[in-house]
Amino acid sequence: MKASLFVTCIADMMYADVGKSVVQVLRRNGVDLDFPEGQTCCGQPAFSSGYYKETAIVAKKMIEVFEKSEKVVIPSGSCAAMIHHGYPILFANDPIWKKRAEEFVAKCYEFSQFIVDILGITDVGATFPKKVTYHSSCHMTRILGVEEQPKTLLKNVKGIDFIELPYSFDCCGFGGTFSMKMADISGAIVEEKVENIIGTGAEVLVGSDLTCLMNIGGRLSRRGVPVQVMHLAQVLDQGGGKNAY
Amino acid sequence: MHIEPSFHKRYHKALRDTAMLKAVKNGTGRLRGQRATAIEGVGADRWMEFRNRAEAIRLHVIQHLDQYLEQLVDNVIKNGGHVCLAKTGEEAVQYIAELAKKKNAKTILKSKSMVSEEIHLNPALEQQGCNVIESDLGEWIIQLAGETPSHIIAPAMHKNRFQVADLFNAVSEEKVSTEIADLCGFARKYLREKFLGIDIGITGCNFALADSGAITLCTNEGNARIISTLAPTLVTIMGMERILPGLEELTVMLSLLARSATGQKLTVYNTLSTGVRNPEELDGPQEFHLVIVDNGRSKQLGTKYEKILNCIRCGSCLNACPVYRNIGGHAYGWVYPGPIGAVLSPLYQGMDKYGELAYATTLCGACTFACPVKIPLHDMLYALRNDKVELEKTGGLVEDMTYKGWSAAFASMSRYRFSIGMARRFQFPLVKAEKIAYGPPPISDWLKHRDMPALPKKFFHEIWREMKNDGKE
Ligand code: SF4
Repeated sequence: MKASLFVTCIADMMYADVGKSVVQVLRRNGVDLDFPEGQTCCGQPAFSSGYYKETAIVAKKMIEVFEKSEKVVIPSGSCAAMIHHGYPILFANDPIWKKRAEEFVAKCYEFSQFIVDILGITDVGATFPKKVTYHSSCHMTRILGVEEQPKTLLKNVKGIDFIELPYSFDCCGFGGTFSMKMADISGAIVEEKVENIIGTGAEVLVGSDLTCLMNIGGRLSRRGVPVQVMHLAQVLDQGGGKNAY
Repeated sequence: MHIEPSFHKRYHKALRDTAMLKAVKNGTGRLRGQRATAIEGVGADRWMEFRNRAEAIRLHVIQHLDQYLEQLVDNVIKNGGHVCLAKTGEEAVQYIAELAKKKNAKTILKSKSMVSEEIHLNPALEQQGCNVIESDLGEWIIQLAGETPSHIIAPAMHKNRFQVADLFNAVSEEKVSTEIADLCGFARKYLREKFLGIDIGITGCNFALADSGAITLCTNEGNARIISTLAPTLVTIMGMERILPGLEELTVMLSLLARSATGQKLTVYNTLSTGVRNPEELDGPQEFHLVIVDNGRSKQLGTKYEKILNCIRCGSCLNACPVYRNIGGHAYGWVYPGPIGAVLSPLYQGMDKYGELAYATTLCGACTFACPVKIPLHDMLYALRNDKVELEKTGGLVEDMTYKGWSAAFASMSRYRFSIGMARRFQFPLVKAEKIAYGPPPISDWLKHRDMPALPKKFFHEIWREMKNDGKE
């Protein structure tokens, strides 16, 4: 199967390793990947701050960049949600771009959603003998509606000891600029999340959205809590995998 | 209660109030746990059906609001009641204050009305010498404390039982212990005595039924029904949107309201009354006044915010909201806290005063999913932010420039790559062990509570160049 990778700006600039794992996992599972040049960002920061005009400029670019792609894989729940939910709002009054946006939306998939729903794979053959818990990111679950896929993939990893995170669906407090504008409220919310994570006794916190992981990981790091933070793709990339070439 | 005008100051004060935060976390935790159990009992699919039906009912009512209002008013008058259609809060207050004067009312008992908080009714009545007593436990507690409600259905959620005992002891002759049963017992005894001297009773209204002119009150303590039975003159205040066509719709809304609010199948008391007593009846008011308050509501009709009028004030969006749970209700600054307040306050009271509340949310969407009538609260919060930028033509100079710069840079791959390349080059004074712990604004705010990873040696698009031709890796 052919697919294009939309790695998203945060993964591109801050978490290149996650991008690398995404590529490796998908390739091992038979995906012929390309990386369309010109891609930058889905537009979420400006959109959620109310700057729709500025967002539309960038969004149009992304629509163009992926025009020729058959399917687009995005290793970020909130960016995928931004495209699915935000683009139709942005172009609601522009028939031409609305149509182009709809076509783009129809082929965009979050990473775990792509593996489970499109490739039909629930076990990628990874091995990761650690105690792991999972944070369900808000936009991925509530807006995009992708809830079970990442957990299914995780639970099928060999050797993994999966522990449910209490209040897994509660927001981590990132909220884009919220974490800067309302820094102290955001700090209180992420602290709640971190306490819940510590309570599970997990060695690794896994998530499907790098901004949430950056927020939670940053708090764990500040507090010196030795819980490792990983993107789902990094876990699925462990141990070679039975589907390895 | 003095309310600090700046949201920034309000929430910082809240963040320091550990007793309050603990009480709010316990309270919201309990309510959302009960709600979750109730939904489990119904089943997720049926719950969704309930919500769809309830949403349809509310949408229908709001779209035909004028027609239902007219029908309601006609029926209330037919039943022997009086109606005041108040455009503003002041009009409503004036009407009730004049009525109290006319009746020479000394003792006024109240039950369950957020609208009366919205229009500042109590202080106005007190000013003309009336003794206004809140008769529901939560409301009475905050009245004793000189505060405003901090939650829609549990107004004193922010107080623990020790604080409540202190408040009670200030008005009690005998010492009240901090045991819940004692506290409730004292409140019951104290308040019941007041009921006997009642001149005017004032209640809120959960739903008014257009086809019969009946007022529905849902309570767990039953004080509202004592008031509507004992008061010679009864005043009911309602927001103009709190209407349902009739009983059939009411049955849907009642079970949904109770489950969403407290996880009950039904609230303990669901009272329907049509105002004045009939000649052959022994109790009920001799005079009934329905005050229907607009106060900014009709402005929402026909706008993209119209659905906010669907709200049935169940409070579940508050319990679901991570921001509310961590700052409590008073920080929002107006009667309606939490996500519903963050939308209502700027819409009813003005962007200039409450626009900041649109930013007091992580946009996590928990509110929208908790809302029984499916109000897209988080979409409205996005829209409010967009309004601020578009209508006021500015989100602030720094932000305007940031996003203009952002879109210019991110709409072009080369400019984007150049900018992040520069950032990587100039981050070095801040980086320690691949982390950034201190930095200039605006990241200084982020770094107050957490570390940030340093930009790596290679960006993904650089790694891709190496991986591209790996084909099979
Ligand atoms: S907005 Fe929805 S959840 Fe919030 S109080 Fe109103 S009806 Fe309840």
